[in-house]
Amino acid sequence: MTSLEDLQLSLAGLDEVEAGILVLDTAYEVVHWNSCLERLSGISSREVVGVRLWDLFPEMAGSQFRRAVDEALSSGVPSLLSHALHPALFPLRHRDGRPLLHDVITRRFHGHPEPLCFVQIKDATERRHLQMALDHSRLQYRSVFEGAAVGICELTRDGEYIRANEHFCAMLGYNATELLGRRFQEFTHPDDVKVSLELVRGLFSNETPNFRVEKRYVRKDGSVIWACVTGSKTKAAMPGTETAVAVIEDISERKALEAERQLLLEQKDLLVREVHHRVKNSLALVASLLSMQNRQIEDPRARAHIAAAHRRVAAIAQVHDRLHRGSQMNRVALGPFITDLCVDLEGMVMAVEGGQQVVSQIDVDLELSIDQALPIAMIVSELVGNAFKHAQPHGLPGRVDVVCRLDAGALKLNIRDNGVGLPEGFDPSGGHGLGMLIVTRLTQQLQGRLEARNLPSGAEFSFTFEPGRWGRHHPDLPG
Amino acid sequence: MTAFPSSSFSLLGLSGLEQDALLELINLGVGRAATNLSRMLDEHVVLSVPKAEIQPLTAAADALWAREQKGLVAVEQVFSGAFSGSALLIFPERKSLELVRAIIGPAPPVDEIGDLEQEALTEIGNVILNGCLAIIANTLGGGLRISLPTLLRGDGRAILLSEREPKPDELVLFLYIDFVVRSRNLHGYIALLMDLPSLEGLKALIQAFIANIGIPGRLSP
Repeated sequence: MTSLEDLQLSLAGLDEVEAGILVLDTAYEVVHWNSCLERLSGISSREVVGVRLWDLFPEMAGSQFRRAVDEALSSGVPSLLSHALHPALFPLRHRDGRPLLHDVITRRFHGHPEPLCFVQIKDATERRHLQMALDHSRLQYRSVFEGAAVGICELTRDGEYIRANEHFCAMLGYNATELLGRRFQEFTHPDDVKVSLELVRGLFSNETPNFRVEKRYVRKDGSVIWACVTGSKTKAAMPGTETAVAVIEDISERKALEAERQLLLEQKDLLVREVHHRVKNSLALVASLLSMQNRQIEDPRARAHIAAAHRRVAAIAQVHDRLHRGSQMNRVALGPFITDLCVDLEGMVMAVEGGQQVVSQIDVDLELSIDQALPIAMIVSELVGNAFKHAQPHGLPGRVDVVCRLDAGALKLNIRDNGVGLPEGFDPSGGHGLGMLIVTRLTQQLQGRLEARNLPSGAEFSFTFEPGRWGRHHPDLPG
Repeated sequence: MTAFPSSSFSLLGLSGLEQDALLELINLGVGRAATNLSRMLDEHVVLSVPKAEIQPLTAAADALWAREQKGLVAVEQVFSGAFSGSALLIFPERKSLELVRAIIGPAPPVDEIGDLEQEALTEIGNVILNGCLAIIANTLGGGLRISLPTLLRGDGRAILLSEREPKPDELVLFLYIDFVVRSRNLHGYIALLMDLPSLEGLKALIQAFIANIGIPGRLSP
């Protein structure tokens, strides 16, 4: 056997290989053409062995393939001819007739004393299809990325921008080249950097799958914009190459409206406070005028009437004072309010009667609206006034206790004196004068309950009111 | 090809004649690469070498890292025999994209280099490196086994050092390459990585070249 026949025999083993294999000698004559190549080309080995390749495929004589074969034969340098640049070097087809995309590798065959060129033909069709599908999905991703009407960017775990869409660039006033490779920290408002870094860290340490934050960016022109940023981590094929994708929405306009609304609310509060203050001042003025007028009156009955009027006006003024000073414009903290009212009442009674005492024991943590606080102030004022008027008919020093507490959501107000007690058969709603009439009417208005009883020494009025119940059926104010 | 504006081979301790011979070898290799590329594109391609130097591998990696901050793409072919090492054609990724697009035309507008473009780039790298490798193989008169091209990506250190600590005696022949392809100007690098025994091989290669040429006096580049 010649050495060539030896070689052909040993090459027969390559028939099993799932790749086209072709061996050429220095005269470009085919030494071997394996069965895979027979199948793909439709040309049998018998037809080609011993034939010059260029005679079989004349168009190949001047191709890159010819150069590659020459180099392999002369210098032994291997070459790779990719389907990317040579779509159909050999006329090969799949069994179903589709053209077979292929890569060709040429190299020196070292198993023979004479220079031989070993040609390997690899099917690239499947790979190409996968690549095309990948390119397609990349394009889709890109079109979503670029076409979005919100800012989208991709960042590394260090916060470096590796992708940014046009919308995001426009939002910050930079172009993509200026943004990419730089970190988001550089463009974030200094006050928001810490929070943003913490969120990104949480994302990469898998503490949170995503986040949403409202933060500020500083634009290229130095202006500040507000944005709502939603961040999430991308899945990566290789560990450690994960990135974060952030969707950024400009909310500067909303923020400006919110700020404007807040300002208007503050202005409104200020205005309401001012109104309460003025109402209180006017009522205090009226109360002072009544007090001054009273000092000029001789008749004790007339004096008592004017004093009662003074007390009532002062009680209403007290409500407005509380509203003006409170944290909320329309609500009054009942506890401190009644305590102050009792101090005022004692002062007023002292000025007229002398030697009287009002002791308050208030234990309520309750806020009431002006519609509730005002009648309660009037009720306390009237009952305390009444106690001094009727308990000590002989002008002896007396004491009135005002006890206020909450009992299962109901407000319990007890006004006790140490005087002569109530007359036999006293009915609080019986109409004994203006004071009790006011108390009765206001109790009805509040849907409360008023009871009166005699104690071993003195009388006690108990007023009960359920703030929650009252709110649901608000009757009209009495005419 | 003309003489390079800048060359530094002092680390090898070559004689003047040997230095000229090495320059001539580089000229031949790059010239052959340009010819291959021109034939492949069926168009005139100009390759020039503005600078060539031999330097320690770490220094070359650091210099490349400093010069090209962004990602690099490289085509590598490993060779072994009397003279072992590997040949690398290195491009900044964006430049490599331009080169491929100059050759295969515009691709889908994707920022990064696609798979098809990677394959095309591997083949282009193969064609260029083969120009140089063929000169070495021919000068040595055979016995050199050369691998198929593979594509590498990363920064200068990753590509030149392959994440290993280089031995202190490892040197690299580093060529700065300017391309003019389809009226685009591009730049890249060719690096020939060698260990110490291969440096002796390189000297033997230079000697063989001088002997083959058979010119006793100075070579004019």
